[in-house]
Amino acid sequence: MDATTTVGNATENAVGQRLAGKYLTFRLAAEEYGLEILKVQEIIQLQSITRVPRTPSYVRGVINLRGKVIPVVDLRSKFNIEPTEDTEKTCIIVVQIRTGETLLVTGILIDEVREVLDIQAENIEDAPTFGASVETEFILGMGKVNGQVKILLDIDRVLTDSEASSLRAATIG
Amino acid sequence: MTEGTPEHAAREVLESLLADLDQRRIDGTQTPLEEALLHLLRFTGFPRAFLTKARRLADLARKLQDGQADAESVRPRLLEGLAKLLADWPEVAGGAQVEPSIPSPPPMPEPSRAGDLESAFPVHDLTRIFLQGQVDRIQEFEVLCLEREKGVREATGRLLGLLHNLKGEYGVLDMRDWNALIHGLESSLQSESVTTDELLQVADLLGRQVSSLASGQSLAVPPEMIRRFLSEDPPGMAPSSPASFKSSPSPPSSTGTPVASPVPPVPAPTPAPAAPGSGSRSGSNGPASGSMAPWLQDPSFLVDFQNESLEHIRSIEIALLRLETTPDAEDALHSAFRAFHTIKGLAAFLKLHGIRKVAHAAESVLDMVRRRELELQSAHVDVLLVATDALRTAVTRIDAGNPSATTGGREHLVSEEAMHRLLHPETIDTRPAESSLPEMESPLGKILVSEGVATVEQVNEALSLQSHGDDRPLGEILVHDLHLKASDVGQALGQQARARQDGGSAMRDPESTFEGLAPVLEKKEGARDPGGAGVASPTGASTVEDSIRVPVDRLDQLIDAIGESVIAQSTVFADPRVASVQDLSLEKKMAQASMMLRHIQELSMSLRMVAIRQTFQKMSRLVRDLSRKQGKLVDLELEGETTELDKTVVENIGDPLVHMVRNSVDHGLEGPEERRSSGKSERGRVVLRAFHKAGSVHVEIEDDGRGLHRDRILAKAVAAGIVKPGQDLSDADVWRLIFHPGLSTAEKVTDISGRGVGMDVVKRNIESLRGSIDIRSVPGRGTCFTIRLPLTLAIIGGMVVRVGRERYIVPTLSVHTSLMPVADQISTVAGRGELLNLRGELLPLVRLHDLFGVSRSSSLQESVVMVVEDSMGRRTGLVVDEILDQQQVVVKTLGAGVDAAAMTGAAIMNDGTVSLILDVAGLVRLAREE
Repeated sequence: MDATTTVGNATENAVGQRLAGKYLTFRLAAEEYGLEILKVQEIIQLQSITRVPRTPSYVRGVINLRGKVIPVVDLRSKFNIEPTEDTEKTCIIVVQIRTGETLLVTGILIDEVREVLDIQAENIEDAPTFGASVETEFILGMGKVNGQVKILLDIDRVLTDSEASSLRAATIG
Repeated sequence: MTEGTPEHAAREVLESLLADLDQRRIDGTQTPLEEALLHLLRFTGFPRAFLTKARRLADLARKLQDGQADAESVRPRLLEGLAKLLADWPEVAGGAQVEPSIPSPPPMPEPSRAGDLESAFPVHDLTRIFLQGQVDRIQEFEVLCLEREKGVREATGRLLGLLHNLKGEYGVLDMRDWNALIHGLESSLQSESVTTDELLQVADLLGRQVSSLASGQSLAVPPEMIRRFLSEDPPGMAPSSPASFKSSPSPPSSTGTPVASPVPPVPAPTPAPAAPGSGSRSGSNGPASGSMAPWLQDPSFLVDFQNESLEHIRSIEIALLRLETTPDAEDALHSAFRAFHTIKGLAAFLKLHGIRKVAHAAESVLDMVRRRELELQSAHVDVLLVATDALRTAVTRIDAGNPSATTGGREHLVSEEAMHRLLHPETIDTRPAESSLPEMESPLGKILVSEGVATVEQVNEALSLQSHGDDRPLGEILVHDLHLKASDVGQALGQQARARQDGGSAMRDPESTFEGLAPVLEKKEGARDPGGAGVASPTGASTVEDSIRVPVDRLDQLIDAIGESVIAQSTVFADPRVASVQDLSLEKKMAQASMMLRHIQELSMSLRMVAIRQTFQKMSRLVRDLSRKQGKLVDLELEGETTELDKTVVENIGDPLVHMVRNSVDHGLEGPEERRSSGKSERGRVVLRAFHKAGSVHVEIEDDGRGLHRDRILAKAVAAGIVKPGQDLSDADVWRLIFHPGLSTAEKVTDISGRGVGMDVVKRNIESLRGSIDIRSVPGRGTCFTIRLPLTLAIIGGMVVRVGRERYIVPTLSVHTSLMPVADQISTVAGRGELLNLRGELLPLVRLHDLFGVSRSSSLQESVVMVVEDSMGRRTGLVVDEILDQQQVVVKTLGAGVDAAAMTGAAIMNDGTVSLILDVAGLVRLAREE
């Protein structure tokens, strides 16, 4: 990077540089989101989900992933988007996230999988600030591809920070 | 590249692995990738750059496998590298050859051929075990040589470790010239004065020797090798004269020793008394000291050392305890000797001098025993056990995260006195502590006395001189200080040697009145013990098991995968299209397939089963220590050590067992005086017993002590407010009180009543293993604790119940009864809680519908009540809609991140869906809180 670039550009590029790479994009309600491809283990069809009582509503339940039982989080519910009927495009993206020492394998339920995009550094911007009304802590940044905006998700934050603790709190309280 | 060549095959393997990797079918724990890449190194004709790349990728693959690195950072690099490697696949005219180029290819016995070799040549057990390891060793050796050449930092260190082990193994097999060769190589490597070619030459040589040994022939070390490597300082264990290195038709033990002895040839009995200072014979072959080598910075080294040493320490204990009862158990002697030797070597290599010193001293003692210079007595075993304990403490204390903090340690691990006794075992007072009988333990002394050469007084005087620090051998003292004739003593020594050669320790000889009385008695006592402390039981005899070590998680994955395929198969068979097939021959085939699969599943479950032996054997040590400390005479009998249990159960039953055995010895058994006065044998008896019964495993701890004291327990319970005064309790109820937390933590009670410290913890531990515990006790006659354990934690019997439209599994073990209530059995309290009247007992009812947020679909009368009991004995009725089925289910953990208080786990049902397994205790707690 040219040392003479302005400060503003430098930070912007730094974000872009850090986040540039391949993203799996998917649709949730009207918005498109991107997931870092390296976090994605696989995409599976919607299958019968066993509800786990006394867990928060955004935990749809658990499924059998080739002999392993993994939880499925309903991303609509998590983001407070009004629920909808499952369609044949509804599917589960299985993600691997690391919390401390353990590898957490979790399914996230989304409306539709789109494509894998390579997003260049110059097309990535920092998460905008909307004020207090919109939570941006789950957002890594915004990717612009062909005039469309993809919200790049910090899936670790989505599923761990408040999640794990609230899961436990909910079951005990 | 032609199809069908090994090269082509290797490429194909890599291609399919690439696909696997890409589709994330390879994860952190299972990758044959490293192996496949390393395989490439065995081809010749490939350009060096290509091989280097393969080598580097193999490193990466190993990192992924070991979980050393973040899988997500390694995976893409690996993917990219692999793709490039395949793209750059060199064209080799005529195809690459598998053989290594440097010297001629030794036909290495592949592990798969081991069976053939075995049947063709009756290869001795020890040699066979040695050989099995060798193929891998040599392969690793080669790989490390190449790594070292590339400048991989840890390679030299790992290479040194490997060589050291190799050296030890050849030493054990008594192939001294090989031992010396490897030692020479080790020194050259340390001084960095050896080339990769030379290293590889030795590797090839070793390969040839291994294949030759497999066919019963030992090769000689080529003279040029001796010249090359033996100019370096010769090892302490090898003969010092270079001439003797040329010897070598020395055949492997397979052909040399009679089949009866499962050990390599033992050095011939030495008739001469031990030379002073012989204790340091197999001495200091540690590397020259100096500043810490760079590879020592690698903490994984220390962790490996810790694990390996702890394992050796365990085997030492077992062997020592066995030796105590059976001093002529040569395999135990050798196993302990080898283990000490290995620890010593490793410690020297890692510059852990404190550990090295102790291990060395202990090894020397055993070496003297091996060479028949010392007769192993209880007291020696004591000292050796002290050393073992010290080693364990020291090894455990090593801080892998901070190696420099530990390596510098020169602190004393054992007291000076203990060290002295280790270094001079002949000075140890071997009179048994319990017995006041004057004993002459020196066999030389006995012979002299029996021959009338010396008087008892003379021998005793010599012995006492020895015990006061005179470290000369007995014979020498007798001749010099007590003026016996040297020729007479010499004759006696010769006789001693002959007696030994006759096969035997005079213990077998009833005529030998001069043999120690106590050991004979001990042996008799021991003989009652079937396999206990390993006395000559056919299963206990072998301390080396023929086995492959597999990481547990890999095993679990296999078991999971097989379980999954069983489910997959049953979903296929349950499919209406398949079920409607009416074809006898197809049905037969399907039945066959499903039978095979079930069989595989059973086999896979058995993989996790391990014998309870190790846990039991730990108790031998415990009982021994406790009884010594307390001056009690205790015989521990072990029964059914081969009973198998799930690995997790075996591991977790250890602590409760320790506790209960300790209680039995501490409080249950009386001292010898008290026993005698109550008309019992002086020696107390504790029996540890494991057996199968009614689909579960029972473990019993039985003693013949004073039994539980009903009145005292009751009094304490009343005082603690647990029981109302005057309450009528059955014996069983009273015994159960000792599990009550309020009672068992009260220290005083235990002093009086005998039992109870932490018994509540014991009970909780056992219940967490889904087991239960019962007590039988007869005052004055003893107590028996029976622990009932499930065979495995992985499978439970469950009742599948319906709650609304959901299915749940209730563990059958926690269900007391189930019933359909009639109207007049149910009453309501204050309009809220519902109670069920079960034969006069009022049980609170918990509606799972309410707890789980499912709308109630049926009235109570249409429902089923399952009466469950928690660990406190409180009963509760769970209301469900119906019981659908009763079946065995494989328990899975709920996915990480889902922490549901009322669930213990999940099971995958025949249709592939998940059902949750209820945690009854948690459920009841939850319901009570609401």
